[in-house]
Amino acid sequence: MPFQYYPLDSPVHRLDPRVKIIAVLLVSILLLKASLPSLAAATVGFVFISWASRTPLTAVLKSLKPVLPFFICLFILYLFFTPGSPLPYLSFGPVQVTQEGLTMAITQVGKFLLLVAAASLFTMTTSPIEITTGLERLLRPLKVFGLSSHDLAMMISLAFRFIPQFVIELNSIRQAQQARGADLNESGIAGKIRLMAGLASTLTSNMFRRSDQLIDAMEARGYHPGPRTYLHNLCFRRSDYGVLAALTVIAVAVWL
Amino acid sequence: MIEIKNLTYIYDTQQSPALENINLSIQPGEYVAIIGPNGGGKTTLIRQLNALLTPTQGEVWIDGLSTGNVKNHKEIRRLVGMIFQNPDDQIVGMTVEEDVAFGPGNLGLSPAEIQRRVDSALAAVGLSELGKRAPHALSGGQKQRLALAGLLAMDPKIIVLDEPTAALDTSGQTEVFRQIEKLHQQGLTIIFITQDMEEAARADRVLVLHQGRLVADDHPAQVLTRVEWLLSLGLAPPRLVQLMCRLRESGFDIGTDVFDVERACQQISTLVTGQRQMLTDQKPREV
Repeated sequence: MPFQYYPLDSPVHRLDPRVKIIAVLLVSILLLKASLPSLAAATVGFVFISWASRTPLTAVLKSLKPVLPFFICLFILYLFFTPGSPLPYLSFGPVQVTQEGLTMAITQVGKFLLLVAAASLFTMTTSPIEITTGLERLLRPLKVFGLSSHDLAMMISLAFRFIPQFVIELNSIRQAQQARGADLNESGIAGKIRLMAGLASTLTSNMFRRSDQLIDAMEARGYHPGPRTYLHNLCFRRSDYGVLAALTVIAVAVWL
Repeated sequence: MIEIKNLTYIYDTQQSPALENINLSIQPGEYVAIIGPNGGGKTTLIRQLNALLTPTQGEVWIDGLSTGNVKNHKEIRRLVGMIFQNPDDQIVGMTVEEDVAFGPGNLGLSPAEIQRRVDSALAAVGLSELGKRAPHALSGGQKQRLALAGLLAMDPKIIVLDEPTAALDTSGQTEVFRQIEKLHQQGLTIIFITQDMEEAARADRVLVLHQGRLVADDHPAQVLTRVEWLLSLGLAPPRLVQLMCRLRESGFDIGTDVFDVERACQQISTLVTGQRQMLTDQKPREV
């Protein structure tokens, strides 16, 4: 499954989740104004980090599959609708592929693909617990606005926790519908929508019921909004400081 | 120590009270079963014990703390751990370890202390090896043991269980009860709701709730042997007790407070040997 955590031991896995979150955010921002050569450099960097994480590169590529149709459209749009000097042999009457169009198409689509790949590599090398703990720490300054990072982290972690249950529930509802003779292979968009509507309403009401019970269980174990403590503590290591320093250098270099 | 005084609880003023004038005290270390038909008020009663519900009238005291005072709720919920019927609906963490750490985290303990408690709680229920697993991948019995570990990590004095085995298969049921009995032997107060009269018979004390009233509170031998009465409440008395009662009605001199096959076997075989003895005694006279 794309975006799924790969429990391995690698320098990338061992990095503090806070550093990884910052890195992904920073790289995303920097990429937006990247040119073709810097994009190429970033791609090389990405392939290197992916190799260092020991996760299969094919898994990262698989995570790009669902967004591919969208990016193909984007590529075509950039290719044919950017004004500039037309390329020879690639122009057919009014439809012209320009030099600028080709460069734009490659850089823009390349940027977005790299963003998705970076996000995917992040979730593949960082467990949900680490993501939650990291976010909780990073969001602590929100206290100024009266938002509790503990409550936000609790919400995120409950969302993660509900995913497997969601899948199990969905399958059992499907089976229940099949058992009563529902045709789950309805063709056509209208049929698909009808099918989804049936599933979604049952699933939602089931999930609300489950959440109610979970709230009782959480209260019974002394849950209260606001500050709490955690099993895992985060602390920066030398490598974390190294990566932060490298990120700063890159950011400054790009800025100048 | 639990003290319940004149407890009445009303969910909805249009309906009759869910609990009506309950008076009850439970001493430390007791092993109590609560039985009764559905809608009798069992779940409502135990939810009063950890302040998930608070009395409409009357008082509930847990170790000298009244549930009526919101300030006491944190400590009451530490003292009284609760296990729910469906094991899936009480999992909070993404891993077994994290789930156990939830309660201690709410208490605001340090990570080192949380780790120590998680380790000892998981060891106590025999799940040490599964610490890194995802909870939803465990079996039903393991999930309930995980839920118990989550409570033990908070160092409670009382454990309340709402039909903890209803969603489990036979081996899961044995697994969970073995664990519960171990905790009882360690001195914890255990209070559990059950539909299964054989499970109720394992307790030292049985409470029967019917239409919101406490209609019996006695030793299982006194409560579970009242076959006609239990049937009139819509409860099924233990099979062995029913058998013993039938034998007794047919004129055999036999005790009815029999809850395990071993004792039933003993009683019946003494009876049969006695009969055989009588027959052999009678035979010469007939000839």
